[in-house]
Amino acid sequence: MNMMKKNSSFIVAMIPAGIALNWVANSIVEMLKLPLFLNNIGTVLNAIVLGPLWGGATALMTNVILALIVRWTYIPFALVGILVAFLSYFFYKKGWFKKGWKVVVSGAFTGIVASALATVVSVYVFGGFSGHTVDVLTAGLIASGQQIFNAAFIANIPGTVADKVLTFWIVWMILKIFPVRFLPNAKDIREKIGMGKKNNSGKKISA
Amino acid sequence: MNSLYMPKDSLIHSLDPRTKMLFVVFVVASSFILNDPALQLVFLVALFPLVVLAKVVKPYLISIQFLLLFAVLIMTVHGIYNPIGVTPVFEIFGGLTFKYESMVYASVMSFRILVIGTAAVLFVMTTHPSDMASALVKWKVPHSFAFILLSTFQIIPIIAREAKIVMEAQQARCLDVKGSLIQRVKNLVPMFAPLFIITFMKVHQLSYVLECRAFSRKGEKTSLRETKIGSLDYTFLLGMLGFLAFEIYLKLFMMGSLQLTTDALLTYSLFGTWIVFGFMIIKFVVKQFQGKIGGAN
Repeated sequence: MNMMKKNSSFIVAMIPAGIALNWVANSIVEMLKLPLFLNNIGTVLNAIVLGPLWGGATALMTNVILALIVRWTYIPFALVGILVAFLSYFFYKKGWFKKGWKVVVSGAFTGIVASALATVVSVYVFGGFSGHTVDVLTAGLIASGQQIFNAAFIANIPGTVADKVLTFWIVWMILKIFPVRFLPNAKDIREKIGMGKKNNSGKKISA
Repeated sequence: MNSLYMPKDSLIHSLDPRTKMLFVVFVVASSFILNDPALQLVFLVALFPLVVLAKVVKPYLISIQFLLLFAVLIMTVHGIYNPIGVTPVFEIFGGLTFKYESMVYASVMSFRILVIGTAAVLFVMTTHPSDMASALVKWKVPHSFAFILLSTFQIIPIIAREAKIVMEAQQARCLDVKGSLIQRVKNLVPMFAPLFIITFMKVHQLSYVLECRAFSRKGEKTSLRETKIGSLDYTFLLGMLGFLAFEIYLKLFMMGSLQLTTDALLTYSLFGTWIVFGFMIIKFVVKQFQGKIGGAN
């Protein structure tokens, strides 16, 4: 909580920005015509930059805002976002953001756990459906003789794993090329994403 | 960016946001207390006069359409395939039977979604986000959380505009948006990197502005929009309490003798959702068709 005292207005401004990134990622993905959501990208970023509690707060507020703007069925899925925030911070803290393959593995693990939790939520609250297009697949799998939980899980898992792997990978790639002056805890982040003492002056953002 | 708020002049709009939040909590609690399809259907119908009173009937019907999609999926799939069903009720073509127990389960679940959806729509459509934030502050929620809630509504369009600028700028620099799947995935980085940097710049600006306005200063903060609890709110709260007591009484003492749920009710509610769903599909197809032949509007 030390950080809260020092940077409270930065955090208060960063959480809405994270929510906005979660929101806007959707339109970028749509424009590139990719079958993904990337709707946790701001959550993961905030979890790494501000810490797990604020990452979790970002996830919770994202779903509250979605419920206020779109429909209330998003609220129960806030649990999944909070889990993703905590897991991403855990992997970051344990040094799993140092190498590319480790990022992919941690993303895949997060994806599996997140889709299991999402399935539990959707089975108990919405009978196995979540309000996305995968519901058609879930219904088809149930009709072909699967149990409801299994059907929802099988329908969910490929998309979620791909989604979380890419989310982690993008956040990692971007933090590597990020100008240091914008980050409040840049030194710590540089170390944890595997670019400790290396001179970064040669590397420019080619974007 | 706005929430679904509809500025109208009605009785529900003039209620205090805190009363309406308690109303949502009350509806969620009742939808779990009344876990019987017939009672929930009665409850859903009983909520409709409030929607009429709030003068938001048309937007309500539009936003409830999607929840009906949930209801159709749940009632059809669970009615046929849920393993808890034993007693067959009726059969449709292809030898698929709807069973009583699973239909009860599915109806309870989908009516609950509709009931909570109705209350949520009623709350969101009649409450200005600023009123909601100031009501939260009065409930001793930290001021910064209320600020986060409010500023998100303003920051989403800002970031969305920046995202659009980044996308167009990168396309102008020959970013290939029609390449192979792997190429497009790789393109996510040059899209998101500038967007992240812009976001951080905006956040720094915003936090300087907040500090200039003494945001982290201790003490009472005033709000532009004031909310007050009046006699209307007390009447509404008393009505809710009375209804809650009645529900608990009904649940504890009357459930044995009261058997409202019948095969016919379940079947007709299933058919009802199918018919409404059919209308939705017809409407959608007609709209598509109109778009194809040259946009009638």
